[in-house]
Amino acid sequence: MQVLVADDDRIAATVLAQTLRQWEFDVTVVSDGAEALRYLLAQGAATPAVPTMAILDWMMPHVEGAEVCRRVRLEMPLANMYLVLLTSLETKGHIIAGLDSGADDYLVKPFDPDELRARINVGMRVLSLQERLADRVKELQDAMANVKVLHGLLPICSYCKRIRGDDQYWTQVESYIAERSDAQFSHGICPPCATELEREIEAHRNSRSGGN
Amino acid sequence: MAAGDDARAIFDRAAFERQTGGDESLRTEIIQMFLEDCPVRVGEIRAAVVSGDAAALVSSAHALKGSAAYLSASIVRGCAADLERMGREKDLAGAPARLDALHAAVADLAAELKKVHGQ
Repeated sequence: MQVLVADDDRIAATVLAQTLRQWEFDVTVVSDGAEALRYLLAQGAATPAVPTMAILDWMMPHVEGAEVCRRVRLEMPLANMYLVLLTSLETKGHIIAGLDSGADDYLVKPFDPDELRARINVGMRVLSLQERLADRVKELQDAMANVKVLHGLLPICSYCKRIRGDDQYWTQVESYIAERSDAQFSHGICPPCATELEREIEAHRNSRSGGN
Repeated sequence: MAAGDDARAIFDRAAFERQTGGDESLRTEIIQMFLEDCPVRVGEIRAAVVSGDAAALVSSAHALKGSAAYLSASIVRGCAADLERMGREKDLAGAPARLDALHAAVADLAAELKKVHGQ
């Protein structure tokens, strides 16, 4: 998984990035908030459904970490991004303000490796859940599109019951429905039609024997 | 405080090794970075204290506090945290004394790190 590390302190950035690489994450490091924001907005625009995790310092040049969170949430409310603030600011006020800005989690420097790993696992669980939900929504939207076609106004021949499609061709009702839904048809004869058919055959037989 | 506690407060080697996940080359890299960056950071802090620039003191002391935390250097971290707080409170009366303490702590830390780094 892609993880963005944003910290203007090269020691903090190096320890964090190297720890994440040991855990086999694909790490990108930037050294200020403006760069972090550019990266996340570009990532969200190019591949909004792909899960992205970002671990951001708070006090950074140009744009602070909390502001990065606020802008990402404002500009891409549906992007699948898990944002963690990792900072030396440890007052309750900062923690509340950080989470209110749109961060999903808040950690105080220096990170404890075991705790960081556990919190990243939480983030990955949330991202994967969100990804699966997005997939289900897409499936449902596709299904809804098909149902809508079947709910529209259908021109049907009163005699042969063929339906005229958008392509202006007349199609048998079974083919038309089968193409636009998961329904399949098994052919048979209903009792009233069977009675009618028997009557027709009998009449035909009688007319032939009367003719001889 | 026992002698061992004193040494650990300057530089807690076991904590530093845990922080860096047993990665020897990462440890060497971090120590080198710190030895390069520390004089610059302390210089920025001194300039901020001398000129009475509270905002500059906050950012420079905050930066050193963060680096020292990853080095498991609690005395340096504590001095930097005090200076950052003084800057935030815009009360630099105690800053020169704290700056002196920071100088001494940084010198002790650098000596410890050079010992480890030289091994």
